[in-house]
Amino acid sequence: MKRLVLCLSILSVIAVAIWAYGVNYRTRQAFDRLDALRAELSAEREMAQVLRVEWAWLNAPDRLERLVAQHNDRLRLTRLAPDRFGFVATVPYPPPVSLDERMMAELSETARAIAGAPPQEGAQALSDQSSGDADLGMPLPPIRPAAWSGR
Amino acid sequence: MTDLARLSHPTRQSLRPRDDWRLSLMIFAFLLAYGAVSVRMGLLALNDPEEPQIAASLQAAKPVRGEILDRNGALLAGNLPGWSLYANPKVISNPVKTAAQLAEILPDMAVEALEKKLSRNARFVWIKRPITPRQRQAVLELGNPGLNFAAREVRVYPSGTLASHILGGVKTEKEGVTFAEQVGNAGIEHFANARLSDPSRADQPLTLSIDSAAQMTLEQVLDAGVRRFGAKGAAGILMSVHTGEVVAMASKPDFNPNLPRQRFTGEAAYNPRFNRAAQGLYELGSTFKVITAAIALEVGIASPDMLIDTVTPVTYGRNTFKDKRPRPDQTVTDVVVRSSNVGAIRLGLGVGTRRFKAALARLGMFEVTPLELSEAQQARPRLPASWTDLSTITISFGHGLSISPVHLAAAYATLANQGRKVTPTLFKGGNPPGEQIFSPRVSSQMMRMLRETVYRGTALRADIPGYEVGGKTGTAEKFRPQGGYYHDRVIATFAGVFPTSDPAYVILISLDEPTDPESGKREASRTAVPVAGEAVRRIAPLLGLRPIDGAKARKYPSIPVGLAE
Repeated sequence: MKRLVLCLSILSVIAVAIWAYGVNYRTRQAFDRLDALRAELSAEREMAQVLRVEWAWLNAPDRLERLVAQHNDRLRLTRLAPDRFGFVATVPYPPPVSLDERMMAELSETARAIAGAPPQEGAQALSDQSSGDADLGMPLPPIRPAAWSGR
Repeated sequence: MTDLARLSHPTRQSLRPRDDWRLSLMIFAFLLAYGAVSVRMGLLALNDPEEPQIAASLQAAKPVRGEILDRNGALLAGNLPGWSLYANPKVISNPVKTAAQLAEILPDMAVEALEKKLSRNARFVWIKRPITPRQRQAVLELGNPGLNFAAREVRVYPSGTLASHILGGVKTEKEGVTFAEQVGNAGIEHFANARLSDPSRADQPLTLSIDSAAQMTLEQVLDAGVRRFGAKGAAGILMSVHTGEVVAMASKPDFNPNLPRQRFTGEAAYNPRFNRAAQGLYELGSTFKVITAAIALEVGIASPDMLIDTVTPVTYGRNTFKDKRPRPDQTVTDVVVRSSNVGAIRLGLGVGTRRFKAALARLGMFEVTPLELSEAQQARPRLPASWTDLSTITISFGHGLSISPVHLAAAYATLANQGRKVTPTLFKGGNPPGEQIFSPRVSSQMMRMLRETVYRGTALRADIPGYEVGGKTGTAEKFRPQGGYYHDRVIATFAGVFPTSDPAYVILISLDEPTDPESGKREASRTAVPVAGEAVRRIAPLLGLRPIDGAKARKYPSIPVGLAE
């Protein structure tokens, strides 16, 4: 019994020593890695700092103005002045909605499809509705044939 | 203990071996504990400290000095890694040749000076600090073991001369191979030096209330004004009425904070480093009449429509004050609009010396401004040594009390901010309004007077459509150091508020010795006013203020600019 305990304790000491050895080296590696990361971080920070200054230099107002003056034949920029503000009241109303030729073509296409296809429930309902509208006395826009609209 | 137990309990002798076992366990435990402590102590004594090294490498990554940003986050002052060049003359074998090589790389250094430095009997000598990356590369290519570099952070101001008087600059105070201490030498760099060089806050930028675009525009307009009117200098301030934030502040001539401080010979007031806006003390002339009138309204001795006799001159002792062109039937409003000295004197005397002085003190006219610049902290207003009724007379129309333009701008802002005291600041966020100095009624009456001055009075040229500019001109003869005043040298000032119906900003423009090239006149109405008008016309849209007057747009085609091709 006593021997067994002794053996076990010796084995456990060896196991613990191996574990401690491994941990020691892992820790050192971690430290090395930490050092490397910190160096990298510091380099990145320095780079960010340089880039920030460069960005500020590139965007310095007087430099931008000089560049605009140089290229204004193409940029066509003008100074922001009080008379450059627009007012909602001065925006013209949009032109009345009218059907242009492409829309006409699409509409006649749809009409032909409805006429050619066997009557379905939905189409029936649609035509019922449109006839209802016609009954109200509101003229629908005339549907022109595609050939006519395509000229 | 065990023996005593055994004696008293002889029947328990069988327990003895177990007691021994306990004893040895205790000894073992104590040995282990003490051993551990001593081993740890020995290790600590013998080991090289590892973690502090890592901490040091982390420290090096931190910026040495906080950055400065404008209110929109644009960088105004930053740091760049740089190098200082130093030499070990003992290692340099051929000083003459090395000096010639270095002089080629560093064109601003003389060969003789370099030779002298390199042949000195020393182990360490600074050659140049700081040097550019290109110069460093060139020196590296020389391959001379006696030339070395010390890493250094260099303060840079990417926008050059922009806001130079506000930023100030830095100088290197203590420098070694491994360290350098930068100290602000002017402006906010000096004022906030402790905050900027605090290592725990070095990575937090300091955000100013300055708007770069407005600042540049103000500087350009001032430059144009200085050129057109042949002025010796100019100052401009744009301040937010509600918060006291200084959105733009410029002084001409200016300097480049990236360059080391130049020696300046001549009158201190013409030094480019002199901040006219915050540091200069001037008698700002008729612009002060607005404050006199506001105090008179607040005290209750006058109302805007009350008639004031401006025709009869005021005589006090041997002095007689009269207007150049007296006009009959002037109201208090007309006194401001037409800038009548006699009217202002009557208002000042009506208020009385004691109350007048107390009101000026409440406005902060006798104290330095709390603006965060070391120059502003030195600008203590010059007031008469003994304040007599004569002082009240002269100060009521703006002479005899020298204040900085910042003082006047803050007073106008207070007037515009419903009469609540405005404390000027350069930090974003601003200050909350302070005590009520004028009633809101007086504030709106004064805004009306200022608007009328621009609309039909002396400041017509500042009437920018859509921004309802209101303000007052002032032409003050310059004080002669020998005593008395120059008659041909003036300081022309315009102090104004826009838009007067809902005050947002105070603008102050001051020109030093201007002359209108067309008419030969020096009055502010011909010099400072057009400059101020141009500044408002260009800056107000930049700050997002839309023109109030919708009728203006009708002059232009109905297609808004954004939609036109």
